[in-house]
Amino acid sequence: MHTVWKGAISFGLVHVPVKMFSATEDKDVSLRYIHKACGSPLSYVRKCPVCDKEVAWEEIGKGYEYEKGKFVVFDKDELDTLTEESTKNITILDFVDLKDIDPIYFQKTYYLSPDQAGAGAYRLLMEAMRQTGKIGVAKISIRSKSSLAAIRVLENCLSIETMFYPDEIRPVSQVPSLPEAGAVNDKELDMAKLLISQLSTPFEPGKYTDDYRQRMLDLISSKVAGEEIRIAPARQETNVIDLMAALQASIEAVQHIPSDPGSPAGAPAAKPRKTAGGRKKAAPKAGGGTAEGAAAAGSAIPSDGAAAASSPAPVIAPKPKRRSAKSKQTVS
Amino acid sequence: MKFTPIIPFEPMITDRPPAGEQWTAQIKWDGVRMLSYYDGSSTELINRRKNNRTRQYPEIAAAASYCKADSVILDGEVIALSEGKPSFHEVMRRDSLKNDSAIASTVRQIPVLYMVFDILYCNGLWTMDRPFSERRSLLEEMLLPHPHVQAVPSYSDSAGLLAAARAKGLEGIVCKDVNGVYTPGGKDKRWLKCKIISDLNAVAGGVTFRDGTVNALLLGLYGDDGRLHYIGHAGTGKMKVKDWQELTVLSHSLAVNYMPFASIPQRVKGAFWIRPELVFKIHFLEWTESGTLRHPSIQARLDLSPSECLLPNR
Repeated sequence: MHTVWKGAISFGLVHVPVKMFSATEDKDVSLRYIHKACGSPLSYVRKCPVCDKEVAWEEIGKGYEYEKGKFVVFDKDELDTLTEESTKNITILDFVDLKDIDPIYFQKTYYLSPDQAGAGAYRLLMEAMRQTGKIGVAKISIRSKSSLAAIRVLENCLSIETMFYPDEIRPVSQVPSLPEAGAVNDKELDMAKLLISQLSTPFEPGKYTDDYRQRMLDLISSKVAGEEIRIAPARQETNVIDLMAALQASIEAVQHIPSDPGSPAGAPAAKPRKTAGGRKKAAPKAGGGTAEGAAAAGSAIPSDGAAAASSPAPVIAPKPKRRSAKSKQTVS
Repeated sequence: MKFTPIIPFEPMITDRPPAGEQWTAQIKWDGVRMLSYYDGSSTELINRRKNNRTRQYPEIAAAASYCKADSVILDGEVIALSEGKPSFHEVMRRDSLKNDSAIASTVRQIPVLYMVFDILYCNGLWTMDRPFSERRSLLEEMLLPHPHVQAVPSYSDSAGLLAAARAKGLEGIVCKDVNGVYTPGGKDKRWLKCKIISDLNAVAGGVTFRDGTVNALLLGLYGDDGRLHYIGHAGTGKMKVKDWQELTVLSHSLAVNYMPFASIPQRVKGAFWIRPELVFKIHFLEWTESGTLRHPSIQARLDLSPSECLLPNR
C-alpha cells in the first residue's frame, strides 16, 4: 500500500501523526481504446481547436465557465491560496454515535497508520474511541478538496471515511412518483414479513462476487488461449540485427582511420556486398546457396584485421526489416 | 538417441582482451546459457545447470527449423532485448515461468533470441575436439535463417569490439582461441571474458523498508569459512513495484531474530534480518577497498541455492 496523504489527527491538545492509505481498490477490468485497423493503443493529445495545435502542460491553465463561452482563469498559486491551512490536519470536530450517520454520507474509506513515533498517541485515541463506542466527525483536505470525514475503529486500525457535505446530498423529496402514505393490506404485509424473515441471514461479504468481472476475465483468458488477440505492432528498437550492425559500424569507424590502402574502396564496397549477402539469405529454402553464403562470410573472418573490417558483419547481413516482419508473423 | 546433458565450457575472466592472431572476439550476450540438443526427432533446451527449459522457449524448441543438421548440439545464449539492449531481467521473466498459459502469453510480450556461438555435435559426430575456427565455420554452414536464432559474429579486433560494446552499453566480450577445443565442464583461458559491467549472484541477509514495503537488500557472499560476508546494499535496478511487494511478503516469512552476517554491516539502521535464502543477480562497477560493491544494481531474483554464492578469490 502506498501513502496517499500524510498529516496528523488533532483533537484538543492531542496530536496524532498519521499516514493514510486507500482501504478499497477498484477491481474493474479496464479496457483500452485500440485502433481497430492496426491494433495499437491510442495515445491522447490535448489540442486547442482554435490554434489547431497540441498544447503542452506548461501552456495549460484552468478556467471556470461562468457564462456560456466566458471564462475566469486561475493560476495554480491562486487556487492554492483557497486551500485551508489545515491541509496537514484532520481536525476532529465532534464525537458521535455511528448509527447517527446515515450510510448515504459515506464516500470512500482510508486506513490510517501511526507515523513517526505516533504509535502511543494513536493507540490512546483508538482505545478511547473503542471503549466509548464513539466515532469522530472531522474535517480533512485531500489534494485541494476539503471533505467532511468520520474516523472510526476497524479491528486494530483507525479508519477514516470521507463524507459528502449535507448540501451534496439530494433530498428524497426530489424522487418522482413516491407513493403517498396510506394503509397496506394486513394479510399481504404478513406474507411479505414472512418472506423477509425466511431470507434473513447474517451478512457474509465473502459470498458475493462480481459476476460481470469474472465473465470478463474468463472471456479475456479464452481469447488469449485461443490466440484471438491483437498485438500492437512490435517496436523496431528491439531488433538485434540493428544492434549487431551498429557494433560492426563502430568497429569499422575505428579501423578505417589508420592508413589502409584498401580503405577508399572499403565503404562503397561494403554496400554491394551487403546486398549480395541479403539476396543469398532471401532464398532460405535453397539450402546450398545459404550454406555458401554463410561459409563465405565465415571464411572472411580470419585474423587479418583489414579483411574482417571490410567484410560486413558475417551472418548478420540479411535484410533487417524483412526479418523483423517475419518474426512478427511467426509470433502471432 | 537421447543425449546426456553436458556442462558447457566457461571462460576465465581477464582485465584486458588478448591480442594476437590466435584470438577471435565475440560479444558476450547477457542472457541465459542454453544448449540445444537435437537427436533427429526432438529438441531439448537445457541450461548449464542441466535444467530443462524446452517448454519455456517454444520459439526455439524445434532445432530443425534453424539448423539443417540431422542431429546437433548447439551452444549459445538465450537473450531478450529491452530498449535495444539484451536485458537479463526480461529473459528471466521468461525463464522463470512454469505455467503453460503464462508461457504462451509471455512469448508475445517478451520475444527471445538464441545467440548461437558453438556446435558440439553434428550429423552423428562429436565436434568438440575440433579447433574453434573449424567449429565456427561448421556452425555457420549448418544454421538456417530463423527469426529467433542468430550466429554470434566473430571479430579479429578484440579491442575494437570491446570499445564498441562499451559504447553500446553491452555486458562485455569473450575472446576465444581459434585453435582451442571444447571441453565440457571446463573453464580455462582458451576463452577469456572481458567485462564492462561486473556481476555476481548474492544472497540477501537483510532488507530495509520504506512505508512498509521492502526498498533495499543487504547482500552477502559466503567465504571459505562458511560465514556470510556483507558486500553491500542495493535498492536500484530492475525491480518493479510488484517485485518489491512480493519480496515484502517473502521477507516477513523469512524473518529471523539474529543477524546472519559474519560482521555488522555498514548499513544496519532499520535493517530487518532474514534467513539467507533469496539469491539475486547483481551488476556492479567494481569492488571497493573495504570489500563491498560500488554501485550495485539488482537485475533479477534467481532460483539458485545460496550455497553457490561464494566470495571470489581476490
